[in-house]
Formats: sequence, structure tokens, C-alpha cells
Amino acid sequence: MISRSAAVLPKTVTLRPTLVATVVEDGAVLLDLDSKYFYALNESAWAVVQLFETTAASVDAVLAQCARWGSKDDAAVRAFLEQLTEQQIVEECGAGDPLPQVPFNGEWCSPVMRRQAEPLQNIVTSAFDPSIPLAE
Amino acid sequence: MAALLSASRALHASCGPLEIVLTAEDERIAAVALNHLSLFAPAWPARTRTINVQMLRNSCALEVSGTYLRCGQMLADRDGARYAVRTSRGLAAQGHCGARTDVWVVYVPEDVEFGEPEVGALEDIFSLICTVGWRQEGWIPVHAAAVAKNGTCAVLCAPSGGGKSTLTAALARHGWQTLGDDKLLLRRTGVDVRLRALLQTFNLDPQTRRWFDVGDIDGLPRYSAFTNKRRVAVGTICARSPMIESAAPTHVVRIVRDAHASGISASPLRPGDVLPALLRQIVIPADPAAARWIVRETGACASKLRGIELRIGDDAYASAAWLGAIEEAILCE
Repeated sequence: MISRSAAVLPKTVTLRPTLVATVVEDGAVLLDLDSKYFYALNESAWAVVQLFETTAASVDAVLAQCARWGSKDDAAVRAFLEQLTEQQIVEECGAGDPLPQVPFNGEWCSPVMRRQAEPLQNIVTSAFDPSIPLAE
Repeated sequence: MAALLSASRALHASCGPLEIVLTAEDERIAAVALNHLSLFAPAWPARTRTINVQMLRNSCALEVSGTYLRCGQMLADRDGARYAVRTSRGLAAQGHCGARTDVWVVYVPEDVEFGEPEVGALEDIFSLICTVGWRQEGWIPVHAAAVAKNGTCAVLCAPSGGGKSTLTAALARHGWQTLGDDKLLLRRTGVDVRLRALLQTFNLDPQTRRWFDVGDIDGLPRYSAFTNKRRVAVGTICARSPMIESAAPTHVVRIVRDAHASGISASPLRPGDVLPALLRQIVIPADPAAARWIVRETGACASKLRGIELRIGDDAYASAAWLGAIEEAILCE
């Protein structure tokens, strides 16, 4: 779990282009190609991220959408967005676009993001072996 | 051996779905390349992509910064379908991927003495050529082992030196079949997931003799220029070959070696941890388009697999009871 951050939340956010996402059984996994860290997101967190995965979204619009999904705690969503900002998973952008239609049929709970302890290696042994290279 | 010298002086090697056609000015360097490619021994019934590789004995001044891939001894850039590669030993390569055929030129400078480091550099270049080709065919190269028994097929995940080969060999001696201990190809086929074997030898550290008879392992050829592991024929480990060429995986097993623990312990992985465990066995280029495809496809595969973490103590292979516990942990999860 990532501790709550003191990052300044911008007015609009979008997912940085170096993030790649894939859906898993209980949410999604993000991989940051810059930092090489994995992030496991629960279903609520993944629903939020999809709101600005390919477009820019205003934070106010994100909070309003989360309320429609059942969120009664803006602070929890804000804290999650601050985590994303602090981890440089999102970046500020210009004006927000209309929110995309994101299906969310689960029971809303606070969005949670868990960073894997160890990042992938930046420099690998070979094109087949992702291990850390041995010293020559 | 998958490599053959034809009458036209072109050298042919089969690497899973790839047919590699080599032309070379220097026979010794061609032999090194073929020796490396001969590792990929099980010939697939059909080769769906041809890779033409021309090996030249001259220099090529390529500017390569590693925007696609950064390896210990090699950098690679990609611009659309074009690749540029440079190794720390001065070898370089350029490639272009087509619809069904890739074309590569590998440059070995004339003034380079072709010793062990250069052999390693050439292996690096051919690993890249093959991995690019396999991905073009929809296969994801996975640096993992796989074992199968009674409808269960477990992908064994650990870093290099983390115990994949030892566990595979131990289970193979315990009646399991295997797709190999080191290199696999994974893909989604409709709603199913498929694993294919690439190697028919094990890469075992000579220290494996602590646990079982591996014959004169020190006298065997080294698996690569960068490791002390030896290429061991499967028959050395098991009288009846346990190799299979293909299976539908059911589990991901994350191996954690714990020198301070005794025996083994097993615990389920959370669904959100199965994909990272698998992705840690896969080279993910920094290029977002390539990475996106790998992560998406691997994610689709991982969603159908259950995860187990096996914590293996230093004495885990000393007793048949511990091996039985490992088997039970995989089969019963």
C-alpha cells in the first residue's frame, strides 16, 4: 500500500503515455514503463483511472462520477488521485474532455492502489531474459 | 539438431515458428550463430515466418541509444518496423520486419577478435532477432520453466539462479512432464492459453549434483557465454524423457528461495499478483506500443491462471517428503 501523499492535485488529469494497463480479475494492473513499477488497482480504482485513461478529465467531473457510482467520500477519491499524481502516473493537462462512458457494476469501495515492492529491471540480461545482468 | 547446411551455402535453423536463413562471409561466426540457434531444438511442424540474416565481417557506425531495449551488453532502438542494435563488443545489426519475412544484417567488425565476449554479443543479437520474430507471430517469449501432470500445467517463475531448473528437474524425476526449464512461448488462442516448448535440454548449475545425479556435469558445454550453467540432456536426469512440446497452463508458481528456511511452504497468490509474477519473466521493451501488446496479452493469459507462491528452503530437495509436499501444493491449489 502506498502511504497517503501530500501531492498537489491538479484541476485536470490524464494518464501519462508511458503507463500501460491490463484488466485482471479484481481490478487492473498498471505498468509504468519509465519507473518499471507495477501497480495493482482494485475495481473502484480501475473505474476511476478509465475516466482519464485516454482523455483529459477534470477532477470535479471525476468526483461527480464517483458519487454516481456510490462514493460517499470525496476525500478517499481525492487521496487516490493524489497518489496517482505523486507517483507520476497522471499528469496535468489542459481543459477536461467530456468523461467517457465507463461501465462499473460492482459495489463501490474506496479506490486502492498497491505498488509492487520491486520494479522490473531497467537493464536486462538479454532480449529473452529479464533478470538483472551479471557483472562481466 | 535443427540447423542444416544446404547446397546453396545458406544455413537454415528452425526456432519454433521461425525459419532462419543465414548467409555468412565467415564460417566460424556462422557456426557460432548456428550453435546458439540449435538450442531451439523441437522443430515445429510449420514455420510461419522467415527471417533472412546476412552476417557481414565489417563495421557499421550505428547510433543506438536503447529506446527499445537496454541489455547488459546491448542496446536496441526501434522506429516502426525498423530496428538498430549495437553491442558493447562492437557488433551491430539492423533489421526490418515485414508481413511474413524479416530481414536482418549483422555486422561483426573485421578487427574484432572473436572470443567469448563476442560470442555472447552475437547470442544477444540473435536472441533479439528471435524474440522480435516470435512476437510478430503472436507468441510471447517467457523466461520460465513449465511442468505438467494430471491436467495441471504450472509455469515456474523465478529470476535467473532462482531455482526454476532445479525444481523442474526434481519434479521431472518425480513423474512430471516438462516443457523445459528456461525458455517458453506463450499465447492466447481464442479463449484458451497455450504454452510451447523451445528447448529440449536443461540448463543446470553444477551444484545441482548436491541433490541428484547429473552425471559428469562439469564436462558438459556451457549453456551461454554468460553463465556457469551446463546444457544437460534430459535423459541424464530421467531415464524416460519427460519432455512435451505443448500444454495449456493452469497455474503460475512464484518460486522464492529462502536459505534460512527449512522445507517448503505454499500460499496462494492474489489475482492481482499473478500477472506481475508472470510479467517478471518477460522482457518488456520500453517502446510503449510493444509493451502495451505484451502486457495486454499476458494479462489475458494470466486471468485464466491461478497463482501460488512456493517458499523453498535450502534443504527442500534433500527429502522425498518435501518434494511430495511441493507436488501436493501445486496439484491441490
